[in-house]
Amino acid sequence: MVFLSVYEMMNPLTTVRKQHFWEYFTGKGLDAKIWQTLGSGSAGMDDQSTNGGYSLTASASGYNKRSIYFGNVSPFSPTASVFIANAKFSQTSGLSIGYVGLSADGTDGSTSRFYIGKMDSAQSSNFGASTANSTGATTHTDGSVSQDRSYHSFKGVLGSSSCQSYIDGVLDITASGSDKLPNTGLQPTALSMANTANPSIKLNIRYFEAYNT
Amino acid sequence: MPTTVDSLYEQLFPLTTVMKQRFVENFSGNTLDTDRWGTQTSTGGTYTMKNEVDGGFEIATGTANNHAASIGFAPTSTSGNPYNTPRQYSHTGSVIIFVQKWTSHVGSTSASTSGLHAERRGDNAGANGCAAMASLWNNNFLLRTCDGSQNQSNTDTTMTKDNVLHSYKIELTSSYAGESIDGALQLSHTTNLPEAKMSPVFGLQNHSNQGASSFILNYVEAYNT
Repeated sequence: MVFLSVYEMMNPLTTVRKQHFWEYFTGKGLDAKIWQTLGSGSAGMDDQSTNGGYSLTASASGYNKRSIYFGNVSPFSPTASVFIANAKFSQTSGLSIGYVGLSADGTDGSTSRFYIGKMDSAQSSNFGASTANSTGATTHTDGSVSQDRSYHSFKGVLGSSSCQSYIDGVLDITASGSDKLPNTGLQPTALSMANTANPSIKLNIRYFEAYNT
Repeated sequence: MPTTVDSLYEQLFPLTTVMKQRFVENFSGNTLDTDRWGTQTSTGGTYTMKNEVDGGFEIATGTANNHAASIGFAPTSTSGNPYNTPRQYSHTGSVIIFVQKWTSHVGSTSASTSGLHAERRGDNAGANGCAAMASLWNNNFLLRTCDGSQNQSNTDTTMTKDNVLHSYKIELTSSYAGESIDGALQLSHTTNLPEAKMSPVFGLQNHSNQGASSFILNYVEAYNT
């Protein structure tokens, strides 16, 4: 036996646990008590392959978005939290976008957020990070890992002066500049975004964990 | 970091040990998981996933005297004390761990129930229960047990009531009920121990002198030992 309880896997009982959440995306359907869906397109448990998890595909026109989020219940800190997601994206080029992370509203709108994922090709051909504050001031930061269609573990560490992105366990991107970092409460989000000139992107997610530090 | 093992199961037990009933609730998401929890819908109770950092889930009473609110495994109903079925946790070998913070003035609360009980009720009375409690009649947090004949007794902890998140652990054996707060053992209580199976209950009963009563939860774990 390693631990007496699940609690003690992550904290001794002398440490009061902060908000902590995890989701395996396994079952008949998305747990609608936890998650809400947003936007147009398709979404559902993926029966196409093993390890399919849950998939989201925005409708293939305009700037359609398809996302899952908590329905604007935001218990995670913009300056002291962590998210971990296992996800993959169906596109490696073009202007479509796929993100996993924490956001204030489940979109790429003018609200606080910290996403990691597939940037559009005008921004980078590598995986990257996108951060924004509540006024919509946004920064996109390239990483060094080329976009591909494989699952990766994406870990975001939100601090008071930076947002760090780990890809498959390696620190790859550090976004800083307090005027462009999230500054309001956040919720788990996975987001597929189409573009007028490109096919839509399918995002598969099979694990999401978030906790305050 | 302790030794890495292959599975979540093996973080808790070797595969040679058959795990007993266990559950974990993180109180994160859009709404309460009403496939798991039932609520008391009478007397003005509200049940809210809080939209704030570390907000967890809040249970609040109405403002009148004896208004009560509670969640448990009993189906949602207007009843104040239904049997809290399914009752899968042992009165002689179980643990419940939870993280809780009072969000009202505790002076507005007549009684509360945070732990295991055979009935879903906010007043921590009835038959077969073992739950932490805060009350305007006590300066400190306390533990109350109820036996099968509705006899109850309390033991005070050494912790003064406050409005801060704490971790609570209640352990039930055949001879005592122990309570720890923030990892420090507070008490070992031996009288009027529960005599039948139970399940998790969190609730409270209001006193009318200071408005509604409320607390938040952001974690519950229960398991048989």
